[in-house]
This record gives sequence, structure tokens and C-alpha cells, in this order.
Amino acid sequence: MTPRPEPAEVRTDHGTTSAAPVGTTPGTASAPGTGSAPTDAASATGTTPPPATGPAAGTASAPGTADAAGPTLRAESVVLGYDGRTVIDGLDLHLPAGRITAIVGPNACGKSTLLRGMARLHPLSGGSVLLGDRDVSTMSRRELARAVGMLPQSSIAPDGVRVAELVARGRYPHQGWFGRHSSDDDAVVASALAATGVADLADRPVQDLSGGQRQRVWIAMVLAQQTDIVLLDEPTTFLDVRHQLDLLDLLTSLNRERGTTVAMVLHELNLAARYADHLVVMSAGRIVAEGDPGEVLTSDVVRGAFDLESDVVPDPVSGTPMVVPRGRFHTADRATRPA
Amino acid sequence: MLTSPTAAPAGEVTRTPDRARRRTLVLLGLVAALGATALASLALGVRDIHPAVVWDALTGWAAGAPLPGDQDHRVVVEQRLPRTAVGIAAGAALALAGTLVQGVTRNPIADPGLLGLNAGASLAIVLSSVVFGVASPLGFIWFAFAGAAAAALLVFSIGAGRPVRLALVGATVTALLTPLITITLIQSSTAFNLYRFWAVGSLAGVRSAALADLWPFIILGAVLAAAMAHRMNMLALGDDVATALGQRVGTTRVLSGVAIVMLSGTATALVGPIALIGLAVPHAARRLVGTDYRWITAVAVVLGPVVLLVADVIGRVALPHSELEAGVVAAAIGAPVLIAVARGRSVAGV
Amino acid sequence: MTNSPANASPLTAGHDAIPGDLHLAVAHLRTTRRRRLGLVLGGCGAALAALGTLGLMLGDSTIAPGTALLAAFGAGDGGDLFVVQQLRLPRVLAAILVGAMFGLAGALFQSTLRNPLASPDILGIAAGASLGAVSGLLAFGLAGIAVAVSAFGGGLAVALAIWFLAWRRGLHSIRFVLVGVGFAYLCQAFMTWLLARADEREAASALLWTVGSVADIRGEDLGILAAGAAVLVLGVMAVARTQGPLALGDDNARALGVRVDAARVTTLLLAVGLVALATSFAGPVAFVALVAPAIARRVLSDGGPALLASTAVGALLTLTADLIGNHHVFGVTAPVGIVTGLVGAPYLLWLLATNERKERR
Repeated sequence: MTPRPEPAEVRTDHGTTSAAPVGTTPGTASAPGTGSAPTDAASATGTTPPPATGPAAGTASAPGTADAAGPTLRAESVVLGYDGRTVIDGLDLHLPAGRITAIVGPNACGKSTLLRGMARLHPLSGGSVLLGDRDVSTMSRRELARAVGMLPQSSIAPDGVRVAELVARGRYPHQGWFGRHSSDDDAVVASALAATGVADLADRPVQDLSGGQRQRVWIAMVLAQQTDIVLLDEPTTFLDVRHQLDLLDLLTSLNRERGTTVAMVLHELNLAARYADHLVVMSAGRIVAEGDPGEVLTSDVVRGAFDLESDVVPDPVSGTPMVVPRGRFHTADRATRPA
Repeated sequence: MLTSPTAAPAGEVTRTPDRARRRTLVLLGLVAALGATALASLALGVRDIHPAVVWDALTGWAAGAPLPGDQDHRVVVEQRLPRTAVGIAAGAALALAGTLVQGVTRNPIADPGLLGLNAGASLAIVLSSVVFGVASPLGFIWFAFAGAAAAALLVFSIGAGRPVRLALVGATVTALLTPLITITLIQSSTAFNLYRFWAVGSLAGVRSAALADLWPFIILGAVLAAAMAHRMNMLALGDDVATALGQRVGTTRVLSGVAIVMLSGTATALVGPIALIGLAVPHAARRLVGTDYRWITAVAVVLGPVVLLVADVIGRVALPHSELEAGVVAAAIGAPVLIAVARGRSVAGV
Repeated sequence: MTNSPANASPLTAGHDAIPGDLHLAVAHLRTTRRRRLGLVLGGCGAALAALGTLGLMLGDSTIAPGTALLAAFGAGDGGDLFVVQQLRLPRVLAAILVGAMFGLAGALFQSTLRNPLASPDILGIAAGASLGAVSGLLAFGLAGIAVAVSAFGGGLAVALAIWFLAWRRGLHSIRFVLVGVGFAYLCQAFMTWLLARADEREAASALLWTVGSVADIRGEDLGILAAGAAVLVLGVMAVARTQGPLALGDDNARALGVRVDAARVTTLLLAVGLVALATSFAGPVAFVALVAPAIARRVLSDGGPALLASTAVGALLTLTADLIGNHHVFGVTAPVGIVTGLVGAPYLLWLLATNERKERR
């Protein structure tokens, strides 16, 4: 694996574009201002931060858009479950404002449930979710919907609905009693369509679109909600690698340019490590590690959470940690592998 | 940390016999229940007959002995035996048809009635009475059968290929036929009187002659339904998966349609439009043995007759001097079952 | 998303930097949709006016259109004025009102339960009302307004029963529909049984009631019906806006700030109220609530709940059916409930069949 020498475009907080040779100054692509974090992930073994103790120091004090961003969303000793079966028992999570948080973990570890609980889609059996210093259970749903947007897993569009109309439904929490659309609403919808690159599909029925296009339309709907915080439950599922990157780039530019706090559940560890400022690793309803991806994603953590042997090497493109899993086969060292 | 690849499947394997045993027990229990209800159906009624006498009557009849003068023997052999036979045949047919309809449409509220079959049969009967002057239940059985088949053909030809749409088309065809029925009923009091007694749904009256004519349809339909069960399992995963697994989905739909018409057309012709057995029995079966259509079919074919016979027996003994028709009792039994199923946790698992 | 500035700029600068033409395009799409709705509503309105006039003109004595219209507004002389004011105008208004109520109720049921089959006909609410009326007529010997009250009670009782039985930590639409279907069959079975038990003549009159008719709604009855409908429609206007988000699924609706359970409960209460009220005066006019929203949604085809269009289509459907039934088109004088099915169903079938072909292509 040879690091590619050519420079890549990296967007900074202020929306300007600078050329930085990737791999030589790793860290620029993730959280600016946290450059002191260990960058060679492979060497940073055993530095698992203590779980569930609130935000890691490095990210909370991160400069830039984070200071300007709106209130933070955090869960305090929340208990979540289904039909009497407790999935999460007393968990704390702080979504750093103005940052991108990715939650990863094995199937059924409770990561989606946690996100749903934080968006008040799933009732809390205990604990509380705070927006700034307000308990969200004391807010009206519409008030919450103006502050926190959420894209659940697998949304189904009603028959025959067109792209612009679906995106316009994101305006719901901002509209008055009779749901009249105003010219402002049109402008927001147009902005969301443009931002997600689906403007030319505005008049197409949603069910005619490809999976990648459809997902962008749903994200446009959440953008039209104009919230400071956006939660997404596995937004890249069913997308090919190109569309996954497109989508994560889109969310990153949203974060960089508008200061939107983004939190998402992701399956793809390496993309999560590359795109997240703050990485949360969950297993069996607990947070086993969180913080800067460079510190968090170690082979010990991967083993603990996923029961999987892996090597963690620097991502040749972004310098963030990259998990190279070991299966039962094809595990020979390169040196000994027959040519 | 290389876990043995056989560890997880081994766990699966050890659990399976439990489930199989449970299913077998359920089925055996239901067969026993069917035996008991059949006996009750032969023994109970306006005149209660001792089981020993019932047994004597049956063995005598089976041996071909001429009927003795004994009144009880006559009641058992001439009235209750045909009635029980019709109940078993119709119950099994309705339950099988319901299972097939729900499998094909993947819609939990689908039943032969919703697909317009009952409306088709009803219209045919009403018209046969007005146009051809048919006045006896025996006479309009073939009309009922043809009406159900015609309605099914219309529904399947418009709605085929789109499972959800099939139910909508069925409801619309019912919407089209029901007014035609009512308009005829308003015109003709003879038809109205004929219809209102048929429409309740009853096992009373001598329908054994009809059963003698129509049993091949039930056998054929049941065989076809049994053959479809395996295909339903794949169809439940969606058309694409079923196709990918090598199934000709269109063929499955057509064959199922044929079986549905045979089964529910015959049952409707025999006992009238008895609702809720076709709807509730498959749901109850799913609750008892899980999602495997082979087991659902096996359970439904036993559970259907049990429910219909129990309804009939209750109807016979509920009122002191008259009978409550089986259709009413079946609805009163079936509705709570359906509601209980609907309140269950995994109601969408169709 | 590429890094090209063209794509990035809208984010940076908010909506000021949106290319003006995109803003216009979105506004244009919305206007187009509204114009389409306007066209459908206008068409229905014009057809209602034309058919309504026809309804005023036709009958035992034919009245010229001008005279009929003048008489409707209270001008004219003796005979014609009486016929129009006392007989024909109430019937036309009742048909429009009842049809609109059923159409609106059906649209509310279908959008809030997200099931195109969810209509009072299939959910057992109409059957409950019928059972209430039929048992009132046959078992308790009721007559007149008491039958209407009994029907209202029957419909409401069934709706509430469905509710309590379907409620399990929230109101899930599939449970509601399944329980409703169970009640539909149950009520139907008992109604058929009552009909079979009854004396022939009484059974025939009860059968007529179960068909649904707008022939005898006039004067005070019409006033009560209109007042009730107005109150319920006010309520509908308050919940109408939740229907769009609700169609996206419970999670999405909640994330958009809809109180899903409260919205669904309110919507269903209003829909049940509309159905029970209309049924108690007109009987269960068959299938308007099922067919009208299906037609309206397909004509508009914008994925919306089509509340207004369903109301208009329901009114048009019922008025047309009543004219046809009242004027011997099928060789008999048929109550409106018979004809609504005959008029609406073939059209819906045609729509389903042609849509099918389009999708296959």
C-alpha cells in the first residue's frame, strides 16, 4: 500500500479550498484544531478513552464552527428497550456541536435505538435527552423538529409523490395551522434540492428514482427542515461506494458550511473514521470507545466491539485509521504469501 | 479468535426438533379435536344422542346394514352424518382458500370474500332465481359455483401481478356486484326470501346430495393447495426472490387462483357465504405453527372444519327451540380470533 | 456530491444564492400542482352545478332550467316553487352533502391509515351503523329519527370498539384495519341473520335502509346534517396538514414534529363522526368513501392525501348516482346507494386496469 503522493482538495471551516498533500499532514481532513491527536492510528494501541464520560476533551474545545453552532444534543443515562427487553441501560452520549459524529457497532448493539431515542422516536424508559439545557421531553414535537432533524432507516415514499413535493413536506414544522406554503418555503426547498444535487429531478415521481437519488431526496427533505442538528440512521445503506462517498461529502459540506451538527449510524468503519470528527463505538448497548477516530479506532477496540481480528493502518487518502479485517482465510503475511 | 464455522448452525440444529415436535403436537391435537367435534356434531342437537348409540349407528351404516326403526339411528345417519360431512368439507375448503388468498396477495386482510367471490356467487344465485326460477338450494349450487368463478376470473385478470392491487380490485368488484344483487332483491320478493336464508350461511338442510356432486372439486383444490404451499413460502419473500429461487411466479398465481375458485366456490355453494373462517383460520394457524406455509396449510385444513363444526354445534344447542345458523356463530367465533391475532406482536408477518 | 463550487455555493450562502430559476421552478411546480387541484375542483363544481340543475328540472313534471333555478332561490309561483323548494332542492343538496361527507371521510381514513382499502365500508363502521339501524327497525320496532340515532350509535360503537381493541401502545394502521375487517364481517353476519329471522315485509324495508338513500332528507334533517358536517369539517381543517407527513411513515412524521398518535386519533374521530352522521340520515351509501378518494388520488397523482378533491368527487359521484337512480335509468327507481357502486366501481376498475398497463410498459 503506497500512499498516493498527489494532493487532494481539502475544505476548511471557512469554505475556502486549499491544497494539502494528504498523508503527510494527516488530521487536516478530520477535526481541524485537534492536530495534536496521534495520527498514526496503528501505533496508538490501548488508548481507549474511558467510556460514557461525556465529550472527549479534544473535540469539545474544538475551535471554528463548533463555537458558533447551536445547542448540543446529549443523552444522559438513557434506558431504551423493546417490550420489556432492555437494549440500552444507562448510557451517556454527547453529540459535539458543529461536528460530525459517527456511531458504529455490530448489528443489534443498540446504535439505531440510541439515535431514535435521541430524536424522541423511541420512548425512553429512563434517563433524559437534553437539547442545550432543556429536556426534550418537555418540548413540543414541532419545537424539537425545528431543532433536530432525523432521517429514519428505510423510508417509503407514498405512491406518486414527486421530488419537490416530498422535500416540501420537510417544511411541516415551520408552517402554520393550515400548512400553506410560502415563497420562503419554496426558497428553502430549492436550496435543499440544489444542495443535494437533485434539482433537475424536482418534478419526477420519487418511486422512479434510483436508490442513490432517492436517498438524496430524503436527505433534502431533512435539510428543508432547517435544523441545527441532523441525525441519520444508516444513510448509506443500499448505496454503492461512489454514492456513499457523495453522500458523506454532502453531509461534510453541510457541516462545514452551515455548522450543522451531524450524527449518523454507519456500518462502514473506514468511511466512519474518515468522515467523523467524533467516533462512537458501541457494543451490546454500551459505548466501548469514543473520541477522535485516530485515537478510538484501534484493533483492540475493533476486537472488543466486533469480535474481529484486524490490522489498523493509516488510510492512504485521509490519514485516518483504516481497519483491515482478518477473516479465516487469506490471512498470510505479505512477506510469506506465495507470489 | 477463529470461531468454529459449525458452532452457530449446530445451535440452530438443536433447536429445530423442539419446533418440529411442537408443530406435530399441535397438528395431532387438532386432529383429535376434529374427531371430538365430529362426534359432538353427530351426538348433539335438538335430540341428544348417546355416543354409544352414535357409534352403533355409524358402524351399522358402514357395514351396509339396513336402517333399523330406531329414531336415533335415523337421525344420526340421515341428518347429522351428511351435515357433519358437509361441515368438514366446507370448513376445510374455506380455510384452505383463505390461506391461499393471503399467500398470493401477501395481504393479511385478504379472504375469498374480499376478492369478490362471495359477491359473484350471491349475484349468480339471485339471478338464477329471478331469471330461471330456480328455487331449491340444490338447483343453484352450480350457479353459485359459476358466479364465484366468473368474479374470480374478472378480479385476477385485472389485478394479477400486483398483489396489493388484487385486493383493491376484489373490493371494487364487490362494490360493483353488491348493488346488482340488491337491485334484484328489491324487485323480487321470491329471490329475497331465497337469498336471505342462503346468505346467513348454514349447514342445515340436506346438502349431502350437493356434496356428492361437488367433492371432486374440493379434493382437487386441496391437492393443488398442498402443492402450492411450498411455493407460497418463497412467494412470501417477494416476487423477485421467488423468481430468483427458480419459481415461475405467474404459474403459481394462476394455479393458486384455480385452487381458490374451486375451494371457495364449492364451499360457498354448499353452505353459503360464511365469512371469517377463510380470514381467521390462516391467521390462527400462523400463530400456532409459524410462517411455514406447508405447516399453515396442514393446520388450516384441520382447524377450518373444527371451527365450522363447533359453530354449527353451538348454533344447534344455543337456543332452546330453534337453531342459530352456523354462519352467525362462525362470525362470532372468528371475529375475536382475528382481533386477538391482530393484537399480537408480529401481525405484519404475512 | 462533487466538490464543484456550483454545487457547494447554495449551502454557503443560504437561499439568497440559489439560482433564481430554481426557486422559480420550485414555485412553478407548486403552482402547477395547485392549478391542477383547482382544475379538478372547478370541474367537479361545474359538473355539480349542471347536474344539480338537472336534478331540479327532472321529475314527474319537467321544469325549464331558468324557472327551476329561480325557484331554487325562492322566486316563481305556486306549483313549481313547491316542487323545487320542498322536493327536489333538498334531495340535490342532501346528495351533495352526504357524498362530500363520505368522500372526505374515506380520504381521511385512507391517508391516516396508509391503506387504500381502509374505508368505512371495509372497516365495519358502515356495517355497524347498518346493524344499529336494522336491529332498531327489526328487533326494537323503532321508526323515524330513532333509527338514525340507533344507526349513529351502532357506527360509533363499532368504531370505538375497533379503537380500543386495536390500540396497543399507539394506533398501528394494520391492526386497526384487521380489527375493523373482523367487525365488518361480524356485523354483516348478524345483520343477515336478523334479516333472515324477520317477517318478510319488515325485512324488505330494513334491506332498503341498508342500501342508503337521500330521498327523504329535507327540512330540519338537512339542517342538522349540514350543521354537523360544518363542525366536523372545521376540525378536519385543523388536522389536514398532518396528513402529508403522516404518509411518510410514523418515524418520519414524528421526526417532522407530528404528534402521530394524537393526529391519527383526531383524524379518525373526525372521519368516524362524518361517516356516522351521514349514515344515520342516509344509510350506508355504498362505496363512495372507498371509491371517491381512489379516483381523486389518481386524477391528482401528486402523492398527497387529496382531501379536497375526494370531497368534490364524492359529492359528484353521489349526485350523479342519485339522478340515475331516481330517473329509471336501470328501469327501476333505485336508491342512491345502489347506483353509487355501479357508477364508481367500473371507473375505478378502469383506472386500475389502465394504470396497470402503464406500469408494465
